[in-house]
Amino acid sequence: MAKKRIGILTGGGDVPGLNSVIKTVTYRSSEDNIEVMGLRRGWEALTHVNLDDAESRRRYLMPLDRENTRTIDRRGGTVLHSSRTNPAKMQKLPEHLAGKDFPLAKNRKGVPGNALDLSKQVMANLSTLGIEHLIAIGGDDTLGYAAKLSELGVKVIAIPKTMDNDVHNTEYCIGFSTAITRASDAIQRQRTTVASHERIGIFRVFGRDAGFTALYTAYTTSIRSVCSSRRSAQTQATMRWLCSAREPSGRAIKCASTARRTHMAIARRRALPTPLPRRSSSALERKR
Amino acid sequence: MTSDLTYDLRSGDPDFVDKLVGLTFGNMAYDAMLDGKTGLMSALVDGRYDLVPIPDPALGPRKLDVATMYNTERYRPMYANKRGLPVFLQRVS
Repeated sequence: MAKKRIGILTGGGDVPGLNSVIKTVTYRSSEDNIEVMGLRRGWEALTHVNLDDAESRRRYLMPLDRENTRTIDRRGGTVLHSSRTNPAKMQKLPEHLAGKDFPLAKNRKGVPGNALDLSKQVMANLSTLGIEHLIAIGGDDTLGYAAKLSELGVKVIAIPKTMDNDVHNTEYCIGFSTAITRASDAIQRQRTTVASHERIGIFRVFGRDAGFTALYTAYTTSIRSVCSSRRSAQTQATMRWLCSAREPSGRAIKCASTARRTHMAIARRRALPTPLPRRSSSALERKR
Repeated sequence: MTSDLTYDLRSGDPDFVDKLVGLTFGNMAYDAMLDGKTGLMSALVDGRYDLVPIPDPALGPRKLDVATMYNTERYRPMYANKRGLPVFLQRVS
């Protein structure tokens, strides 16, 4: 009887902790006599692999065992590599699929757009590879396609990872804690230089437009923060206001973060001028 | 003084929390697979490990609840009233 085979992939930006997931799944599988096929470069493995081409198979497929995963959890990143490919939103066909017919992808309102939906190819590759169950590790885009595959009848289990911590239905995504730790460490280190030179320190960090990275960094470093999800006039005004603030000693730490449209500014509490500029009050807002 | 932390935040080795949660999410996913389950995601809900439906992609990314987490008048996080919250301070919905 043929061994059961499962697939595992990592999509989107890498975060620390992915290799721990890959290793534990591989080790558990080895105890149950189940094969694990590592699918390299996220969903791209299932859209771009040419199973008739040995070089393509080497590029996109990586059989996992105890030997080749034994030490991977000691490092960050992902040994399977990653990509942001979404098979339901393909702008261009892989070379070996040129000329084949695929349906146009539909947007959230169900209207066909310009992108192609390669789900048919993904399912065909899973079938040819004998993958009965898939474990997909990723953020909202990677897992969004996992949800689509599940609706199409593929057995999928998802694991949320993103340093932005912005996946619905879970309070935590792998990578968030390390990201906050890194940001806090960097701010803490630069306090000495900012103080020595009596300067304003401005930091940029990722965080998309979710706001978790900015706020939790501010919370854990005891500094003031400004978050906004848009490059709005309010944000610009707030940034100008923060950049005008200094401590009596003449120094201030300002930390501004931009990723896509996200802005964050952090300044030490004592650096802020008084009275604070007031915005529309909210019953939910409380003063410390 | 301007510094881009950007990729620094996702690089290097995982800290204890990401090792712990990564291992646990991975084992939960494996157990779910053994049980023949599909369409589920390893998750932390109300501070406890659980399996939940994979989120609807139409929802887009989850966002911080500014009303309960951020003081928009004083430009800083909310510090009060944390008792009873799960470890990461926000419930999923």
